[in-house]
Amino acid sequence: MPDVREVYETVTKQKPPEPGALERQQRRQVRSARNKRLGAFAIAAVIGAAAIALVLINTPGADRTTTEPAIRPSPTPPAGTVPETDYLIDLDTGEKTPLPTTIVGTRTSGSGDEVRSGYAVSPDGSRLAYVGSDHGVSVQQIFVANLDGTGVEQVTTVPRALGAEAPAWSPDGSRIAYVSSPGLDLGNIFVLDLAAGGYRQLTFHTGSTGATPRSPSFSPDGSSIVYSVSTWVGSCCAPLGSHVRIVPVTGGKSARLVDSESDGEGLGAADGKLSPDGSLLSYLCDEEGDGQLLCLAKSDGSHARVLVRGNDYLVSHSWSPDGTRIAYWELHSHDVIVVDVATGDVTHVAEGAYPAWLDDDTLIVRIDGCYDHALAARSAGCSG
Amino acid sequence: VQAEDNVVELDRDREAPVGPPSFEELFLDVHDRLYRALYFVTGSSADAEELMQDAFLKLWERWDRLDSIEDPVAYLFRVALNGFRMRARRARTAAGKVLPVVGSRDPFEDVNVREDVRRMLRAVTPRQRTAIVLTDIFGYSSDQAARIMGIRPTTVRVLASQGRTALRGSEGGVDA
Repeated sequence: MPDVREVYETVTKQKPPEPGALERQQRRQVRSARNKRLGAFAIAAVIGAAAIALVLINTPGADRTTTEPAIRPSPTPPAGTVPETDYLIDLDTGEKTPLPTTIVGTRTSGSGDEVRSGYAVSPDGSRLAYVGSDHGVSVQQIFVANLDGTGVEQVTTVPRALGAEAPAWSPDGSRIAYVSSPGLDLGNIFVLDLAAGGYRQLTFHTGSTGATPRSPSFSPDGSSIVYSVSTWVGSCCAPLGSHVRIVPVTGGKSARLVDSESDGEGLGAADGKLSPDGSLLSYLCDEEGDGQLLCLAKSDGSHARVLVRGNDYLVSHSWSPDGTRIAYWELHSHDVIVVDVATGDVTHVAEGAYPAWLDDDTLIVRIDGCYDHALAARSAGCSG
Repeated sequence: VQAEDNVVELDRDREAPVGPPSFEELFLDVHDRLYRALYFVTGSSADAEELMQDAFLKLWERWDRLDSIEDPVAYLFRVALNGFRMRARRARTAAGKVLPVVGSRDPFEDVNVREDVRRMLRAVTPRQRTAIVLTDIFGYSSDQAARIMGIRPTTVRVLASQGRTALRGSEGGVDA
């Protein structure tokens, strides 16, 4: 008959802790500290707003006929519910932390201006790039802000209604690629140097070709931009096809990575992204016009296979920093899903749109989102 | 294998490092013990890892006030075991709302042990396992274990005794 210690040793020696416990603990601490900072900032913002409201109410001449309380307490949402603003979600605990109001307040809403991009996280995780409104005018511009909501800065000044969208950081955090249309043509890919302030145009599609570059992202070594090109009928709604290309960040001739031709039913490949180690290329693909697949290929586009068969149009995917998972959202259900690249197992993690990895355990999620899916016959969730 | 002639004498006169350990040093020193203990109590490697991380997170948040914590290791145990109790309570509440009776999972179903050992483990409740771990494995007195578990020392002794009895193959499975 075994004694107590023998039973203890027998049981516990079979389940030693997984390697890397200290690193996991340190990541947990970083996330916790960050969420606390954001929470403190949100509380400070609420207190500041309340103080301003009190001052205004007590100003002589202010209208005091109302019987409503001047400041309504904002109820704390029950645990597990989706915050009413863009948020961070800790994938380990499910804890949701609202993004600072200074960021969400400048981000252009998806309902009116149909912003088709989410937050882009700088490589060091300290800053966000996103699409905001140019001083209330309906021109989309790229903004950059610190994650705690300080340092909000407009970094593009595109003088036209189509504006700028789809920001993506370079691996060294010094440049941002984006889609813009400063002239009368359809959008093209540009790269902005944040320090110098200048930009370089990388693609030169014109309105006459009906081809629109979209979804730029840097290669892991920062030398190239991967993007997709959709060919449209007229200017709206029904892409003839889409394929993934790569162009040197210094400019020059682009090359086709995924050779999936149009057949007039919106077939093709879109939203190409290289894995963090540069060995794999993920992209949205379809079979028979379904537009419900996430495909994976070698970085040169060869050996393609289907990784995910979704229930809906898959949108805007992104690789986790460690390259083990991909997050995406489904167009109509607004389900945010994470897929394990090795196994293909999918996990529903949140509701919202445009998930972006802040670190290996945290996603930033927009609560609203529309997208004229490059492979879909019609846009969904967008006005107009 | 080193020949005896080549054995290098360690410098026994070298002074041991002075001062309290860093958080990382404490983590590396303690996490294996804490994880195994929590695994023995919960029967789930995932729960053990999460409870351990939560406990270390709380300790890390108080690291600049470490002087106020008498025994960091006991503190880690207390926080982790509190977390386990709260989780169990929440799970019972949630299950009670949707299901009249919930069949309990075998906590050690994924461990390959002899059937007699598995039977023994099933016969011991988590509280009894906690009392056994603290007193018999880690050598805490019943007073110290009581402070960690938040119960009276006599209850610790009863729980440990019940657990030992159950592990010897006789009765058990009902908490004091």
